Amino acid sequence: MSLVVVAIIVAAVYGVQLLVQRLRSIGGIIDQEVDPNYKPSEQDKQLIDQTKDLVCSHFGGNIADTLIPLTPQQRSEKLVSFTQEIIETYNLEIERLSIQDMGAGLKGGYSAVDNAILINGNYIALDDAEELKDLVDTIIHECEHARQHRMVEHPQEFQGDPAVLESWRRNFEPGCYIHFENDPQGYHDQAVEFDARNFAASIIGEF
Amino acid sequence: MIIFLQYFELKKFLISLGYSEFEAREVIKKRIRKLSKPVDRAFYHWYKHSKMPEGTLEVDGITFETLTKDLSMMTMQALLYLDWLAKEPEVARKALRKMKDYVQTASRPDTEEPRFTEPEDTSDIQLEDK
Repeated sequence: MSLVVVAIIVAAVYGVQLLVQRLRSIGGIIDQEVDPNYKPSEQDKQLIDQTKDLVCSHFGGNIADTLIPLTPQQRSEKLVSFTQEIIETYNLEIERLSIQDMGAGLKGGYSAVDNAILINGNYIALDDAEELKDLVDTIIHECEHARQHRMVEHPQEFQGDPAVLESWRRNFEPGCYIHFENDPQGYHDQAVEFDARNFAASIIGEF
Repeated sequence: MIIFLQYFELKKFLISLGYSEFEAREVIKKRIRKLSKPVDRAFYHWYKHSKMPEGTLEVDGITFETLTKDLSMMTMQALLYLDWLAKEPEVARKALRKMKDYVQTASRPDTEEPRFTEPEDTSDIQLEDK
């Protein structure tokens, strides 16, 4: 796996800070509650527990307390190391992990085309406890997308409800992923986002 | 008075904005056919006249201007978000802090249909204009 780290651009960080303040004033604090309709399989539960252990070993009991004192470079290194262990634990075929300038809105992304996980480096530079914790959530979230894609490509490895796998397969069909900028509710409700959001919340909610 | 929007014209319009075929179908089926007031009138005005109507469009204390200027939402995105806010205010507000990523899937040639397709409802979309 190649690792590409792009410099964090200070001007973009200011834009991110401003956006975070505005989002917070409208949307309140980031909700870590798990949707009652989320039903993790035994396979999911095992991974959730393993990931909690990884979060503990990398960040202790409090993610923000661990990251806030560090420089952005040190935070990057810690987050990269954490991500690499998640990739290994989930048995993912990730070819590129990229921390890069993604502007102000997005925190991360997964490319099924390039087998790449992307993290917005501008959020790493924020001295904001809630956002730094959400960055770890984002890493787990993107890795879960990669795992969903792996399960669709290797269905014999999937041990959950076949209807769930089918919903992911359809969602990964070319052109069938709903983008937030095109339909906010559609983005929120679609199968792969519902699962990734709740999978990550099941883990991060305890920190 | 009831206004009728022609389905294929509307779908073509959404695709011109960057929606995939699937996204355009879904947005028409699940959102535009069921738009709440006053978002429906604002959408129709923007669709027909390429600009928003006079006055402030506000839902649950959030204005269209806040979404487009402060949060850099595009017009269609802001209208759909306000529609969601009108229907599920608590869920939509919380979701704003969790709208954070994208998944890149392979692209499909324009001429190729998704492998699974539900029949399209191609009837005109009806909006009320009072």
